[in-house]
Amino acid sequence: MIENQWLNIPASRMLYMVRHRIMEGDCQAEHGPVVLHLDAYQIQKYPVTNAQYMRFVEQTGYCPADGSGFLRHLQGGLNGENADLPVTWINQGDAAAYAAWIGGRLPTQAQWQHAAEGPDGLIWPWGNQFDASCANGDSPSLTPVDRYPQGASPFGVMDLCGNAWEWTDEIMDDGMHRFALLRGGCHYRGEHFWHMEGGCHSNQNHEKMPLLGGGLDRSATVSFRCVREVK
Amino acid sequence: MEMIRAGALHMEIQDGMLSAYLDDLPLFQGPEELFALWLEGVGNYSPGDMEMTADREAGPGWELLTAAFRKEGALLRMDFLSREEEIRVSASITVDWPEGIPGRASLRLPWLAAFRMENGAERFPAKIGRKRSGATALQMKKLCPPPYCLEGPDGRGIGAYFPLDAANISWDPCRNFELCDIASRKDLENHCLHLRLSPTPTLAVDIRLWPLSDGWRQCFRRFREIIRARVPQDQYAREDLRWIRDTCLCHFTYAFSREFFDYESGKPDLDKLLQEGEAFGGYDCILLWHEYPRLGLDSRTQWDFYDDYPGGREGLKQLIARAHEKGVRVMLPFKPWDSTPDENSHQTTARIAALIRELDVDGIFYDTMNTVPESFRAAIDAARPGVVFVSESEPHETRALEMITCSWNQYRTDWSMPESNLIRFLFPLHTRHAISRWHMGAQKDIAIQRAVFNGEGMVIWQDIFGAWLPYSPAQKQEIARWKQLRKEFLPLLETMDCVPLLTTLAPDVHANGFFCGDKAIITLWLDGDEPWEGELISRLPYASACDRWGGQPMKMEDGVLSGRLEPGRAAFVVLE
Repeated sequence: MIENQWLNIPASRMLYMVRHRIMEGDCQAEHGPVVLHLDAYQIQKYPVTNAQYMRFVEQTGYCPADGSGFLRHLQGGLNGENADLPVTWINQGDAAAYAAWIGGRLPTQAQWQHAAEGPDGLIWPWGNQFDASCANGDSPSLTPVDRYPQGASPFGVMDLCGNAWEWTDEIMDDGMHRFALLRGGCHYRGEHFWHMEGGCHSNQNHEKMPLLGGGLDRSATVSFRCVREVK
Repeated sequence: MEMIRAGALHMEIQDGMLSAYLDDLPLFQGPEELFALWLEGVGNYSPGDMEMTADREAGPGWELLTAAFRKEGALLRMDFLSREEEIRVSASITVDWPEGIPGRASLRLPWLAAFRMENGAERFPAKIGRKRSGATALQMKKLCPPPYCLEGPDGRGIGAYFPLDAANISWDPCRNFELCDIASRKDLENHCLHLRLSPTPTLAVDIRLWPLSDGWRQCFRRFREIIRARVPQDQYAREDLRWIRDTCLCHFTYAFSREFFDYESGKPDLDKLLQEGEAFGGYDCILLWHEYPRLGLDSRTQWDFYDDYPGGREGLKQLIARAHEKGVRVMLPFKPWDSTPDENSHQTTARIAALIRELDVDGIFYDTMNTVPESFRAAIDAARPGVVFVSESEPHETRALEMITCSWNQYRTDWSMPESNLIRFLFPLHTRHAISRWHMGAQKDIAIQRAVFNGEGMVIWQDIFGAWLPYSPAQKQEIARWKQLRKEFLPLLETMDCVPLLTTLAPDVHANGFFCGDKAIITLWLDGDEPWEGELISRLPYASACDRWGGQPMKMEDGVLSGRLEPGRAAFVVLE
């Protein structure tokens, strides 16, 4: 069973720049390049697992106001096969609630990206060349969060690429729309050009996720990890 | 000399040369060669080099003149069939290739390039109307290109229609293909048909020639009759589908937007949407769009999204019922590109039918499609009457036009006016809703004028998948006014006798005509920067004229419509 581990990310100056495939519609967010100064922070080595999230639910009695789709995949309960998979079917609020419970919060775009690309701004967590053996980027199902140690980032952060998208903390609101920005890609790949682009996404890529509430804000492919301040 | 006649048009052949006349008016300067044939590795053939035999047959209402030309293994038979005010000229060619191996072949018809009339105006199949920019003013698919037309100032002239019954693939040589690409006098003069000839007869070219006494109007009417005759139109006559023709404004309802969704309550706010729609004159219909661009995040398909929509299917059902209470129809989209990997067409059909039955849907919007599977119509009719099929792309095949009675008019050559659309004028009961998808600012003004110019309703689309591009208050007022005007004149706008891009008396003035009994509507557009005042269109048998859109002075005198046009603003002239 995977246990929570925090990794230290030192204070740093980063060149923040993010790009993505442009679907129709806008992605009203900062895409850089901008130079950012990040204070030191800690980030979870792995995404939060099913077992960890269920422990939170059991201990706190957490129950979202709109539970549509909440932990839809765990209706049969935890077992040896799903315990270490990244938790999914949680919306951004469910993720933030967990983060608060462990004394953290969701990472900002910059924090997630810096943890993934390291001081040298790598394209992929493991380097500058894509390597399919480093991540779960094209398979029918999720894999345990420690399955790809060779995919670790320069800071030792694992499972950043593929497997499950990860929530970040911003809710973008341009006055007409609310959306979040996901990171890392996932194991699932839609078949058609018009589908959201799944698979592995690079460190400098984000995906716009329009929010609508209910079951549409929870998904089988979106997980999260937490960060916390260094005291 | 051999002769053949159809109405005012008669043609004479002598020594392989052709002359053509409208009564006593020659249609080209002197006799022209009937053809010029080239066979790869064999050589050039012209009628003068070949042995000609002629034959003539006749029957009730028709006459057939056949001129056959033979030389060294090649036989070119040119048929002139006179019937119903038409001479149909076709050429069939047989070639015994050396060693039995076919080579390339090409055919020119010098007489076709020689049509001339003093002060005559020409229209070409690939460019019926021409904007100042040089772009075509008539949008169309290649599968039913309109005829070539040459008309003199008095309306006399000739039409040449090139039927195209071939797949739209350029590497498949077929009759008429290159003729349908003709967009200018230069193209006509340089025309050349690329052929694949064999020892059995190949139909190489097929041209229907019409004598005209009323120019382009008559020519287009004839073309329209031919096209319409091959499309069954039962669906257009259905009373239960009639509502889409009355629908002027269809709102594209992007669900992930405050235009429709209240993030605070977590529910859609239909009443607010419809209330805001009052500024446009009221939405008649909404197309609820709640999947794309979210599809693909995980393996859920469009069908799952109905379950996971806030409130679920029951919520959607209540929302649609509420819309119906308000007199607003609701369409849902179908996306052919999104289904489960093991889903077959029977399952898809059943899923759409079940959705319609469960939610009481009024129409299905076929995303990215220009045709629909055969199984859809019967299954959906069994689920609920009155469900309209709307396609995003323009249907241009017979079966598709038969089943789909409404489609988006988002096909455009550029952002400018004038633009007319061929399908709208061939099938006036096929509802076309003009789209302003990525139009911004003043481009939306153009979109409104485009709807007026073509007598079409509109899709009101302000939130394009997350890009908020609203109409201004003034534009909303314009649309509301257009909705009222369209409603008032809908029977006239739906007339079968509508003609795009009429011949006008001013070079930069473009006009569409809608003729019905003793009334007509002429919509006009000035493709210029300065106002124009003067004669606009001749040969209009009406007494009065009134511009109900632009409000400019108009008058009828001796069959000539005159008036004033302002740049950037269509005229909607009612003639009585």
